[in-house]
Amino acid sequence: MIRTALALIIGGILALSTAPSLHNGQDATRAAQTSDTAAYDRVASCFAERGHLAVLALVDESTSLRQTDPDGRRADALVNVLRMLARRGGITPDGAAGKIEVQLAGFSTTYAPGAWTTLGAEPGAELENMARAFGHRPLHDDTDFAAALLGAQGAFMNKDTEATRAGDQPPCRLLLLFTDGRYDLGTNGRRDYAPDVASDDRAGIRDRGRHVLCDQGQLVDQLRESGTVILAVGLAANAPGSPPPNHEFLRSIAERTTPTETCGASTTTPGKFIPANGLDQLTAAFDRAIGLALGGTPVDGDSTVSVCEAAGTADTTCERTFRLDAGLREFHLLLNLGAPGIAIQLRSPDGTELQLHAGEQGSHEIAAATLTVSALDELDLVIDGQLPAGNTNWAGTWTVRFIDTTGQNAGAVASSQLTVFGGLVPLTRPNRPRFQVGEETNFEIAIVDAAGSPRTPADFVQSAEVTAVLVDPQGRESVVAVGPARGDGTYTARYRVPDDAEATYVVLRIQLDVVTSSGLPLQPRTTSYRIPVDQPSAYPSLAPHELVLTPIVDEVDDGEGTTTVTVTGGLGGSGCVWFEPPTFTTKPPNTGQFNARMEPSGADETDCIRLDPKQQRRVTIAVQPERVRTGFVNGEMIVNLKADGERTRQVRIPVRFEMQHPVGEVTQWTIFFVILIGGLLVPLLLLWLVSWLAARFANPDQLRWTSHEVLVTEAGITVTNSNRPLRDLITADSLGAMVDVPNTRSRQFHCGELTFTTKVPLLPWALPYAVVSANGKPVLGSGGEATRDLRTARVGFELNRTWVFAVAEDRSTEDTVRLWGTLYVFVTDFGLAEKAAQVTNAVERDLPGCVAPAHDRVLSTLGTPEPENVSVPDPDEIYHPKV
Amino acid sequence: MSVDEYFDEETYQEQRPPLWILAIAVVVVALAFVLLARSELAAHLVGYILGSFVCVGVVALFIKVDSTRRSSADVVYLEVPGLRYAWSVVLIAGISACGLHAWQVATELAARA
Repeated sequence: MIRTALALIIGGILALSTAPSLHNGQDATRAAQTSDTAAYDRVASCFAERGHLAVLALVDESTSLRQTDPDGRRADALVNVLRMLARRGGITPDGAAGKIEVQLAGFSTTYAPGAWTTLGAEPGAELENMARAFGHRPLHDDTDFAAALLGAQGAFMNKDTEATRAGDQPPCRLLLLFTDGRYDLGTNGRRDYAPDVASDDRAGIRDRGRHVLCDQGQLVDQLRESGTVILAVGLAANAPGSPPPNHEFLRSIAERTTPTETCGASTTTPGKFIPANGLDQLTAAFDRAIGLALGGTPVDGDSTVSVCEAAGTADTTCERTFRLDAGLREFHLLLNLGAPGIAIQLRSPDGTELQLHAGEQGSHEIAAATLTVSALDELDLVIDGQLPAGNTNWAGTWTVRFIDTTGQNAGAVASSQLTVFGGLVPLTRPNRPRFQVGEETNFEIAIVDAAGSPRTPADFVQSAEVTAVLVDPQGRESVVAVGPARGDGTYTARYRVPDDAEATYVVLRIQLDVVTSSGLPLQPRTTSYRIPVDQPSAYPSLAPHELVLTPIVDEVDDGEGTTTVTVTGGLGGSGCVWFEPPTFTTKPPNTGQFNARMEPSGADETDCIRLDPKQQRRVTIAVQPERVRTGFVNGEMIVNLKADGERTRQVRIPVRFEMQHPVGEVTQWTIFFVILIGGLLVPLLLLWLVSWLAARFANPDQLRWTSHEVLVTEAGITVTNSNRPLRDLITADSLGAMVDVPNTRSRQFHCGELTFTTKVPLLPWALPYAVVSANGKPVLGSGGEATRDLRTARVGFELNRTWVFAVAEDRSTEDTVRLWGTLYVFVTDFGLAEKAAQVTNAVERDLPGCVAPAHDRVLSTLGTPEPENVSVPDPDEIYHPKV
Repeated sequence: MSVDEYFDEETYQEQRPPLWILAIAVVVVALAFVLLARSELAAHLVGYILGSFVCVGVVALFIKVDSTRRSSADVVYLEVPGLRYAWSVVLIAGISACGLHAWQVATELAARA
């Protein structure tokens, strides 16, 4: 383990010190990720890069929603989300074709998913109906975050597998988590994530669930590491007097740390908690989150206004005005009319008006803008506007006026929320650049509008800034130098790939930051290109630039993942290629070694694959793990390229594949119980055995003892067969040895009427102890009581300075407790005089105080015959010293 | 009966419970819990053995030494209050770690079956 840790540390240092110059800029990225919009930026930029977004809407179905959302308004919010996604699903934030897939899933006691659905221009009736069903689906007593997120992780993994099998990149992930409550369990039952916790131990299950979710490297960290952006919407009841909800744990799932909670350690992917303080904010909260995630920019303004009478045209208090600047592509306006009978008048910059009523749906064209109007419920209207780049009559100030058509809603308050989407996109011109190691590449960046036409932003926006970075497969960033805007609106950029760069490709990420003419900073627009990095032309080349092996789905450990690489000879000379075994940095546990084979071999320089100029050869690469386990495997393979007469160059090709290995639950549980029982019973038996072995009296051969008949009262002890005090009778000379006893430690022995016995409790963690009895008589001892009826008393194993009083008769009078019997004292050998004095002191001080509290029980025991078979001594274990 | 009354340095020897053995048991259990963070089968096997056999073995040793000291002649045994609960807690913690490791081992062995 230490060696592994050292290897990791040294490896980390080497990785840092030998990293190629494709780095820097990470600080900027981290800073961006900690900003308020980092989570949205991540979704938007990933969608722009990959063109594929998987959205999982995870909706709470706990019974508390009966109080917080009795009318099922969450369904309206969901429908709005689906429509927003659908209307922008066909186009990524950089204007390219995109694909959005959605899964709606409920959670309470378990995770209840629907099917993944690819969105078209509209969500479709089936998906909308599914969303609307969330308003009246049966509710349950649990809010089980662990079950929900485990289900979500599985759903995302299935989507990844699908994409990988199709040879695509995994989709970007957006997890939309809606709940009104805390992690809470209201029902008993076994949970998969807490198999060894009793089904009725809800607190224990919840505690385990929190560990499963939030321990370092556990579920939430895994979701973050796989790029899942979590947007958590927490609904708070806004009923008067209701306590404020505690959404700290939910917030920590999304944002990692809060003042009171921390969930996981990974900061790889940002998340965002969105509070919805009341149902009236729920739809708006979802609306704003999705708008931001799709690259939109919320526009502040008078979002809440009163309503006007129909006749009061001069009254502007019921109006919201907003400005749409040239350079925008779309706007999205969510309106809450405030009360039935409220209509809106929408006035465009060219003065044309459109009146809309609650529940209205349809398409309209106004000031060259195409407006799609849809209704969510009886009070919510949504207007999605398409703003053509070719005709900017729509550019200018728009007015929304809320009018009470019935005259019965004078106090109504209407609200609106506007999101705008920029229309300018940065692109490289004329084509994607190519990068070659050791050479500087110059390329051009142009800004195009939504129609794809080149634009000069300086003509119609306040400012436009273009920045670009290169990101290598290990995530290291390098800044690309971008020059100032030229007269035609284009920018020149250049980058020199270091001569020793080993990456096979890089991602060129170009970002455009625009501030509109009215001063609104739009969300950055990012365009990403995956661009190969070529080695010098004399060297052989490889394709593809990333190896995605076929998945291994196997119940036995003999599966392998394979792929094919095409190697092409360089220009002007022969060369050769050989492969080093791949190394994997991410893999499921217990996979063991990974063995790789290549056909044709090409395992080292002497066995390399020879290539003539431009000759193509296909190489099959197969990787077999020692053991197939479920999870993703990521790593890289070093490929050596040699051109005749040139030095050897190395490139690192990313390698990844997925493995699945089903585990038999019955087998798993059987093995668990067998090893658990073995692991507990054997040691506990051992422990009991040790107690049993240790439970022995001190060697009786080394004991000295004496006895006297005494009368004990609360006032003191009187020796009945002598007039002398006890201290004169118990002396070193009076203490005699137990003769004829073996010189060994024993478990039980007799001394006169006394029987000394060791006891070993059945519970292995209870200590052994020793007792003394006197043929059924009540006994009082220096070690205290052993049984309530006083038939036994506790003594120590060593029996040093021990006294035992066996009561024979009760001679009490009305006023005084008087017990008559035999007093025994025991000491170990050596220093007898001193020990005799000490034990006499002890008995004179302690015994009189015992008689009164014990009197009733003494009487009871004296009047009861001794039960038979109190203890059956083993004849071999009992020693009878001569008395 | 107080210790001071009977204690005489010349005659008697003062003995305490072997707390150092209990400290070893605590370290063993802590190590077993630390190993839960690892994912390899070997780590879980080690954790399982530490939490069960080693932990119980060390506690057994503690009991043995402690009992011997308690029963030794001419010894003043200085009781440590609550010690019995302390080593019971250590034992239960070890058993818990053993159970958690057992689940991980079972999962891996089932995968190999």
